[in-house]
Amino acid sequence: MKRLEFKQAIKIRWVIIKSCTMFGFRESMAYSLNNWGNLLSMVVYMTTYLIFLDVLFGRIKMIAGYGYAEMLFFTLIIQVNYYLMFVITQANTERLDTSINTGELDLWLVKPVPALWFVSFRNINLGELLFSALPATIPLLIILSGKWSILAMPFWGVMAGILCIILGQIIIHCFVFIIAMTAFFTGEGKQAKNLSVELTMFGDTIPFEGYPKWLKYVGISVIPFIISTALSVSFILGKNINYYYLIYIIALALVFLWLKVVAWKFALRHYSSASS
Amino acid sequence: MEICFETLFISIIIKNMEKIIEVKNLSKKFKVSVKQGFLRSLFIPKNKEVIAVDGISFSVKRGEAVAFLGPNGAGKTTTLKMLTGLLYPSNGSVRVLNTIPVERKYNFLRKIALVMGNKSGLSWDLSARQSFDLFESIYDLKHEEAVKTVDNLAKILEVERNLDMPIRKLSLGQRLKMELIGAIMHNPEVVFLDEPTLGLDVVAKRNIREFLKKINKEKGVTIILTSHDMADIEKVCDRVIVINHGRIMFDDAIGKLTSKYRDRKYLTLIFTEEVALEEIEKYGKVIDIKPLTYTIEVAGEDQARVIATVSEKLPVDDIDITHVPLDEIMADMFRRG
Repeated sequence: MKRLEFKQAIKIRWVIIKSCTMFGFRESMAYSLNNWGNLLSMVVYMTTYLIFLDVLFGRIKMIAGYGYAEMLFFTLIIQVNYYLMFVITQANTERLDTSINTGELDLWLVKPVPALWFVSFRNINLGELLFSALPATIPLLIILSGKWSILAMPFWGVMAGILCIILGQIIIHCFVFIIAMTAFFTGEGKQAKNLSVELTMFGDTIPFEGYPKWLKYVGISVIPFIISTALSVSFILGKNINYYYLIYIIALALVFLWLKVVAWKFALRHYSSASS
Repeated sequence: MEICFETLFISIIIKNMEKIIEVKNLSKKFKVSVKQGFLRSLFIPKNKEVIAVDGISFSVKRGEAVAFLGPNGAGKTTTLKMLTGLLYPSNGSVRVLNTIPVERKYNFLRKIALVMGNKSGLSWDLSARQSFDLFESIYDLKHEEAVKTVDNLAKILEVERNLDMPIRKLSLGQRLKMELIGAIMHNPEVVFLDEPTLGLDVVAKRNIREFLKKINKEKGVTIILTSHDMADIEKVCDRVIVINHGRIMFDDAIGKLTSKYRDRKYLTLIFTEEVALEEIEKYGKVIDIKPLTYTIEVAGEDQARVIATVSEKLPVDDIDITHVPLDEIMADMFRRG
């Protein structure tokens, strides 16, 4: 019986992700001109950043122990993490905030879905990934294509790095989500959510080795800004071989997941629902 | 065969008598911030407690159509939200379909529907049919059956041509009908409606009322409705629960509510030429004044005499006799507290 319930719970969650992703894709396609505008702005941003890196490394050889090729790879992981965060976490927390504010959440809370799962993944924007993330990253991939051989990537380092990206994203998601839940009490949590996004993306410009020790501790605990990009690249490029970090991050992800569930239950208990 | 019919008959009666909503001493308090100076409210915010629902008790049987009536802020919507599990009660207990709503169990949520006249659960940028596809997955409905149900409901509500149009292109009435279809396409046992005809035109209102009546009578769907529109309540519901200041003031058949006012009639007097107000006031309490038209309230027993006198003494073109309208009855009740 328990096994059957578990299978049913997994099935419902899978159906939600599948249906909501398709639904989100359709929604994003509703405004095609907006997609083109978004793509252009991302291409401009990426090109500017690549020129900046080129100019910078034309004058110096290393930043925090990272050469040009390593910095390009670091930028690639920044892109991966930024879009994962944007598509999964930011889009959904923003939607949560709006739906609390407008009262739309009421209509979803009475649907037979695991509510926390639903609000976490109801709006995965595949259109954003396809039409903005991928094309905007192409110039970077082209420049990086001739430099893969320079990069040292030990197998276990790559595995640890990938795990670090996944766990880092889970931790960031929980962190931003918990902050976004202030909307349950204040009716509007957009700015608090934006602050939490800024805090978690703060680590995306500096390699792990470039941080002072105390900031590393902060970045892998209360404000998890260092895990998904800085630490994972450090693992992938074989600069960090301290695998105890991984055990710690697995534990941290579990703590953040638990905190998210606790915060959600607390928020629902105190939900006052937008007036009608 | 005879026993079979008898058993069926008894089981239908028992089913009809089954209480599916039971509310006991239900209360809900909210904390609202007290207005102070800018700095004071920033650093020393003050809250006060507001009682939205104050110890109400009632039950609803399967297949009933019940209306919550009351002025703004009376506690109708808060009660509805507690019945659907959106709000945790501060005190008392609620059971709907043998479940505590805030537990949000799958089987409970599968059997209820909530429609809110001023809130939209459909995607603004997609067609209603595309939103219904998502609901189909959520409710685990078979595709062919879901399409059939949606088409059927759209036909009844006369929006079949709008199913594939983006929601943002629909009129308010069409959008609300789509919301209704989306809410009940899974054939719920209980439908909660909060101001379902808010802002609609007369035709759309009538359409929705007829539809609600139809699903209540033909499918036995229990309907719990809040509305400010008395016609919604008169057309759809058999029973009315009047709430004011979070307390139940009246809970019975609509007929019983209006019976107290049956001894009073409204006479609408239409004249061929101007008549002074003082002349009209001699015959009864003036309720409404329009060009060449006065509406007065008279006691039922005086009705014939007043009509005869007015017809004889004043230049009457036409006289219209009506019962005291439900909204006047409500206004009178709320005035008396």
